[in-house]
Amino acid sequence: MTRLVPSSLKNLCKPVLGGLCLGLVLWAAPAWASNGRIPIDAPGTVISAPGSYYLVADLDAGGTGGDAIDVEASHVTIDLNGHTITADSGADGVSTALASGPVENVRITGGRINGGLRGTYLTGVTACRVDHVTFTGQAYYPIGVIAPTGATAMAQIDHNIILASGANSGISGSGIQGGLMTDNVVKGTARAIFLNNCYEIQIARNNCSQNTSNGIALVNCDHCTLRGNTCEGNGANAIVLNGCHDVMVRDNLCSQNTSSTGADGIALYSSNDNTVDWNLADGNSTYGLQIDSNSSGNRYSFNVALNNGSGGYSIAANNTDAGHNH
Amino acid sequence: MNRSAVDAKIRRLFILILFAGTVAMVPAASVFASGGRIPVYQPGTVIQASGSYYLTRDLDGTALSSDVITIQADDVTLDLNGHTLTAAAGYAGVSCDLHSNVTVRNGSVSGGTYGISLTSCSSIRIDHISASGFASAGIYAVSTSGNPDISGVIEHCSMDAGGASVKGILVEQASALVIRDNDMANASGDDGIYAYNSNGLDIAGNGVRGFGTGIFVYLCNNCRIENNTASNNTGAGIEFDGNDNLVRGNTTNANTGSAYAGIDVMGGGFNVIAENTASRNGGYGIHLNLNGANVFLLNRTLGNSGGGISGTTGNTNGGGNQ
Repeated sequence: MTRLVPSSLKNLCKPVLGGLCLGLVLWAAPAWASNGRIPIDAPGTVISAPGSYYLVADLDAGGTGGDAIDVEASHVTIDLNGHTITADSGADGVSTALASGPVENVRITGGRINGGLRGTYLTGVTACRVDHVTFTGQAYYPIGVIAPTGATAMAQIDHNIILASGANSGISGSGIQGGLMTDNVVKGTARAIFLNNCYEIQIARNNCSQNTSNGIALVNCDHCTLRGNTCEGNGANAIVLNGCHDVMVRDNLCSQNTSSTGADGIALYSSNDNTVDWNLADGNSTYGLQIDSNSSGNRYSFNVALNNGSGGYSIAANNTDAGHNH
Repeated sequence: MNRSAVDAKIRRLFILILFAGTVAMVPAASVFASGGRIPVYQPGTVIQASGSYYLTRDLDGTALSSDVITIQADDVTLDLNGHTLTAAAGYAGVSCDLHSNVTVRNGSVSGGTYGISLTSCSSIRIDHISASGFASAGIYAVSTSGNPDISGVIEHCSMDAGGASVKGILVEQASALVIRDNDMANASGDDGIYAYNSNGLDIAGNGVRGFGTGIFVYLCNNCRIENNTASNNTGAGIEFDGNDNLVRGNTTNANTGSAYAGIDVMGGGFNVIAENTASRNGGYGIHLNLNGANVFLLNRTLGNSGGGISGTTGNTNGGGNQ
């Protein structure tokens, strides 16, 4: 442009060009204002390149038979931007299932996902975060994280609200090593939080209420911390460890969990060397704390068990009352 | 007219044209910049479709005979975008009845009966709201029999009661509701946080000063009242009545009502009161209901006018109380 403009006219037009530049900046405002983020405006979007993506509209994938968004690349952030994804009843809201290999660093944040088999189905991921999302009406589970075969995943699941009638688990994880599951509200699922073969997870300050099965269930999980969770009104054991080792269960409120087949405040099955302290187990249909005969080396102290149907404590031998339990 | 004068005139003309163009482009740029969100710019707006909405300016609804913004759809995010809603007497800044998945965040509400009024709404998310000048409650979240419980999160909000006898947050018939990290002050009476007939509430990390009772939880079960600070209220710091609640790690200081306590268990049973600090209150540090089968342990009471812990008969001292 400079080469084609005579110098006298160029001087004359300096303010004009400056103004035009300003105009171009303003017209280019969409990209600038979104900080280079990439808009998503239609269901069926496939993300195949790293980047920061954001919704510019609600997405309704109902009746399409496909996922609302498929992520097939690493290093992807999807900001729902306050919008709602409505998933097809036979598919997922956001899924990594179609990626050809492991996917790294995926984050979904800031909106709502309704319906579908799963809300966010993060399978084959090595690191992910789901936060500040509201889920309703998933048939399988609202949030699912599955590590790649032969590898582990890191996961941070925080500040989500899950209100999903009929879902198997509110938050379901397998093969996670290292992560946080904190500050979530999970109501109306089967199990609020279900982790299988996970390690070094901090599960804290979640409200897991009025689910039809467990509040928090860990199977074959080691070196985890469950702290400050509220599990009330569930239809099975509020907190259950099965095949777990070196898990700290502290500061949890487990109350009014009831079932015709029995529900404990905290139950340990085939689990060794765990610590259970400072919990309140109140008004559950069987025991406040039960540790079965296949478990050993567990220590419990400073717990309070009140008004449970079968009694406060049912503790098999080879486990230690470290005192101050009531 | 010499050449320089012509040049100057043309420059001014171009600048004027470009400036005019700039002004005209701002609205379009705003829509793009908001990422497809829907602007709200008029008081009296009724939101009737799911979507992500945001305020483009302060809205003054004092001349209305309605709420400033009414939400009549599920799946709505309303971002106040740092702006202020001002409501007329008898109305609310934002209202929503019988809808789910509603988020209101990031701004201020002033005046009206309620700052935010939610009736029978499930899966709510209210965060970073400042409320002031309301006549009844800053946030009103109530359900009724036969309708979905209030559930979700109310967090990081602040309430300035403006010296009036009003409630900060009022909740009835809620379950799985988290009331967390809110701050409220400056009332002449009434309750900072009032919860009634609810289950599974997490009331945690809140600060309440200058109300009648700081936190009042009545006929609520299976709740966690934890790590709150209730101080300088004219009645009790924390009062509750219900079963199977955990009241833990709270600080109640200088609540002046002589007939009240730092922590007052009014009724119910099987509650645990642990690791709380109650100091310089006008009545007892902690008062328990007789024969409540409550357990109290590791609490610290200092310099309370009525004494440390009272009503211990029929309750269990778990030890470690000072």
